[in-house]
Amino acid sequence: MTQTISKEEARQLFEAHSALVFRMALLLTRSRTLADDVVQETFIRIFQKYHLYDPAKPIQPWICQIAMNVTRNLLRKNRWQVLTHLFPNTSDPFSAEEIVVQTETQKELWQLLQKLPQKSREVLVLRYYAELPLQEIAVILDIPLGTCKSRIHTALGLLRKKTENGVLQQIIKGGEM
Amino acid sequence: MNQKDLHQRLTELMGEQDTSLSFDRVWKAYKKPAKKKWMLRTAVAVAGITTIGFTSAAFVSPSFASILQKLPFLSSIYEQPGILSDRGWEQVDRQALATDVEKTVKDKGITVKVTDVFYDGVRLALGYDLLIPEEMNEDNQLQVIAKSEIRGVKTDFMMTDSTNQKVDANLYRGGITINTSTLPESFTLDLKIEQIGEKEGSWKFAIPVSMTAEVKTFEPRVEAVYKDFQLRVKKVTASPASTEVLVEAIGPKDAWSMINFGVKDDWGTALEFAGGGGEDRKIDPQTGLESMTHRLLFGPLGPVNTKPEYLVLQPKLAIPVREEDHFQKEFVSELKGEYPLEFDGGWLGSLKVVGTEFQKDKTVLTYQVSNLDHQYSLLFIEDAKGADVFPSKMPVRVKKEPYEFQMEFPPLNPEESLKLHLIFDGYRKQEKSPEIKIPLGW
Repeated sequence: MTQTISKEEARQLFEAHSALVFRMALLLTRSRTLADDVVQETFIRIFQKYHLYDPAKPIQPWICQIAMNVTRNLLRKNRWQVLTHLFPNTSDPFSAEEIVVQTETQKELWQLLQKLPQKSREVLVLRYYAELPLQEIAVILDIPLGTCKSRIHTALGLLRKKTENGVLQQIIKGGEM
Repeated sequence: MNQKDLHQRLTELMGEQDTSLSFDRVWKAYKKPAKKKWMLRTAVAVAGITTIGFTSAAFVSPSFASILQKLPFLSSIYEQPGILSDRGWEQVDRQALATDVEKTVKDKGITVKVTDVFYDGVRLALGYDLLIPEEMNEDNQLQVIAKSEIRGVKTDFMMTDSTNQKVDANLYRGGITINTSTLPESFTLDLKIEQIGEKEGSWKFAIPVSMTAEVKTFEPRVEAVYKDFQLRVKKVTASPASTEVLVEAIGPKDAWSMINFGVKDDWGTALEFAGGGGEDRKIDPQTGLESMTHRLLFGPLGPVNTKPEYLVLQPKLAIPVREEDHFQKEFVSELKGEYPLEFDGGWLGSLKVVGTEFQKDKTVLTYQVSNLDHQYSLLFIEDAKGADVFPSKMPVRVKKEPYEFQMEFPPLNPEESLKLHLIFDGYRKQEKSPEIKIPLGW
């Protein structure tokens, strides 16, 4: 692998993976604007650190790891702004719910996901959206494998609990690791 | 149904959603990193984030665990890695304002012991220990899902949040904070913990609570009109842990969510936002106008300006900000021990770092701003590995003039290559909020 990424390599990476990064970020941040920020910052870091990537390994977990770190940092920065309370409150003109949700079941799933703690959402997105193996998720989140399993179990449990009589109950009931 | 079904549902949910950014735009930003622009502005995006969401699962070494065992419960609330410390809880801890409670319940092999309670008429917190069975090899933090009620008191809202830290192989020490409506001076709190980690169960407590801190209350009778709202400051309460301002707003029906408030002291220091909510919402059948009392909760006054002559209430409407009116400038500079480090943001103002102290347990950065609109500008440090290190506490005002603040970070090694990042934000056409003076007769 070359030390610096060529524009063509970068374009291929962006075209192959930007949609996944965007959708993961959308699930985690609930904002199209923030998800776009995550895409931009993630790919800048990927291009900067491409020489550190080991081509013997699959690239998707590496990209997901960078995207997850970028998302966490971005949310922290936003939290800082909210805490300091000095900036005008804004309505996000690109609120994701209106754009993403088309059916009642989708609305229910979207709202349930948003009620989960960040930690639970992260594992669910990595496991059930990006479909990454548990070992990879443990590496991405920098946690032991046992903790990773336990977080997924807890996250599914929380989803189940919040669904109770909803349409999604049956779907989540059988969620396997 | 199984994993594939959940994956399918999530895939359907996300559909063909895609970024609005083109590759060329991202490539351009990569090639010109100094000019890259963060697009930070959506408060909406973090509205549902809980404190639990920001904790990290670090390994606890046995030696560190023995230190943690001596920590008071409040440290688990205000010393979480990755979240900003709350100066109010820190003061409660330092001044030992919490009182002992000894109530223990065991269920599903887990023993919960409520150890402390703090209530100052404004903020309410409990301390607890969790003793888990040996086979529960758990994370550095255990998720605790709890509900609470105030016996015989109707509350308009009730938010119960829990945090904890592992302090020994089977022992967690934690705190529960309860954000609710205005409460009487004493009451019984019914707490029900429904889940600990993965285990569902029932750990119920009835805890007598009464005020344990000296508070000062003011009834300033200040009234003002802002846009379509008539405002009345009903009460201000100052305690070692908090500042509460009760503002009644009368306005059009359902418009309550459009109005927000900021509060600063007579030096212009914005008080640290700590929550709150609305109560006593009612509609006047004759006028059709709706009134609601906004319970604004902030951190304590001080630490230098502890008895301000007045506070300033700033109402503002939640109006979407146009992208073209938002300006942002990011600066990066090496922290090499040479001061002052000055960052000039043009019309946004300037910020000057005048010193950094690298202490054993923290790093303290002192800075001055030319314009108090930027008193809480985001400063973070990039360490030698390229990781972003964020402040651990909100900055505190240490001098009236020049406008000087101190900001704490986790301990850092000055021998390493460190870079300081500053992000200046501003809105060119932002409407200036009116300033409503609230005199405090100490």
